Amino acid sequence: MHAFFLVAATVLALNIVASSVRILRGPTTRDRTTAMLLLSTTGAAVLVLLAEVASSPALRDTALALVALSAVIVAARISAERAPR
Amino acid sequence: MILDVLTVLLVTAGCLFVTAGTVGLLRFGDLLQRLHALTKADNLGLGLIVLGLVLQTSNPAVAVKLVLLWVLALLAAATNSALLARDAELTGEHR
Amino acid sequence: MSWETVLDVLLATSVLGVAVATLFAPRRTSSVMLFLVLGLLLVLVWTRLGAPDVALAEAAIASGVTGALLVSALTRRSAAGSAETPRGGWRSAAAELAVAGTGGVLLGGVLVGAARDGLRPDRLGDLALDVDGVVDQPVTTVLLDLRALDTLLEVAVLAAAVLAALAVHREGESSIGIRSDTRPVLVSFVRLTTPVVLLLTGWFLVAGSSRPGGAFQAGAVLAGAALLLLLTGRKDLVPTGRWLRPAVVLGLAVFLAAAVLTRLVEGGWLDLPASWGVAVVLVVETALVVSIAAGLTVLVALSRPRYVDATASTETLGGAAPSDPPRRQTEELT
Repeated sequence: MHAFFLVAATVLALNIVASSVRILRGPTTRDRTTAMLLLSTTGAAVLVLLAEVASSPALRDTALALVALSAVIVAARISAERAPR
Repeated sequence: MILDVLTVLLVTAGCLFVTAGTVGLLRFGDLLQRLHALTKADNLGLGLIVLGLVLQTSNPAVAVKLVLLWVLALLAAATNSALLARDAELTGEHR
Repeated sequence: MSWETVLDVLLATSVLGVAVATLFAPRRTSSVMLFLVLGLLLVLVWTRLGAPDVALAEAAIASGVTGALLVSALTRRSAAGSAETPRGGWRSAAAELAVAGTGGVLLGGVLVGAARDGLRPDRLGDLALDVDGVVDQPVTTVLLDLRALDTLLEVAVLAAAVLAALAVHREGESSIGIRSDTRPVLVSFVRLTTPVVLLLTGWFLVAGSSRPGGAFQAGAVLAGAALLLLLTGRKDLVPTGRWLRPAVVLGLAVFLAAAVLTRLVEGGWLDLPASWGVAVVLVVETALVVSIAAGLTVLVALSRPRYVDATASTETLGGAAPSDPPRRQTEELT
């Protein structure tokens, strides 16, 4: 079971790395910020899987913090966009 | 054990959905399409993975924490995608 | 080759790859976003290295404070004038190469020496696991029991930095002009999640005694919540105005008071006794949470681009009177 979780975590980590392609390519900054949405959800999934593998309940707390604060970046970006120069 | 089989199935399905979401992020041609693909597929994938892990634990506190994680992720995804999608055409932002 | 090794190799190579991409990405926005990707990959690296405390701190800070700071600095103003800084000629390239080479050689020497000598005795980590500290968690024991003086000095440095930022910003008067976003989507999200984030803060604070957590992580999470509140215009819930500077120095003050108390009672500075040492640690950590959260929030809020807008209200941070005419703001704007 642990080996399976590690495989799943590896697949999800590959997804995280793949999001950087969109960050490099995405024509607008909003596209790049969209890739950041993937980071918090997939990162939380990897952390939760690793929590099972390493028997470390603190990693679930880490996933919670990651997800709860994911809106801060988007809100900051949108707010900075809307402020006139 | 039947729980283990279920967990494997659910986590595999979750990973497939997350990968589908990433493929959508990379391949779709428009911001709104990418947002749509990403938020729906990613959160469903996370939910399936959470469900698979809930089956593995015997501690109810852990199960509650995992479900709370998923609910928070749903809320955050809904808010973030709404923020990013709105006025996307109007700001006329480039680069 | 086990699956753990596969994951570790993937993480290591992707950290290197993303770091290179961050440095050489054509646009500043790409660099910043890739830096945040790097932050998440580092969280995963820390978990694989068996350091959940650091992973928790990195997740809280990279997704909250640092993310908001970097992303809000990418204003359209900078993107419009995005002429890349001209790459200096061969001289600067040679200088960069020399610095990188020296750093690489030194680091390589350290790594080779560590691999050859193996683990030395009396390492702090092993000592921390064996010592009978006031709390169970070895990281908190090291931070607040064995090396409390170091933590006190770090807190003093952080407080001094925040106060200096407050002082430099607009000649002792700190004002931020945040166009608060009161759209119902964001407001209702903040309304729903702020209690959860406050709960998380309290949990990390209390859990620091027995499992990964602690004041810094709790403070970083609380700073993220404060930023969300500021961004949606709920300035009334964030200690701004005359409570700001006291909040920033509260942690330092309580820490100093604890030092004086232990000196008077136990005879040694920050010598925590076994009986009520846990209480001291908890009180100090609570004050540190408030200070760290206030400090981080200030550092991010003061970095937001100021704008000249005669019609929008300028909310002031730090109790200054918002009576300046827009003309003066134009002169201050860099």
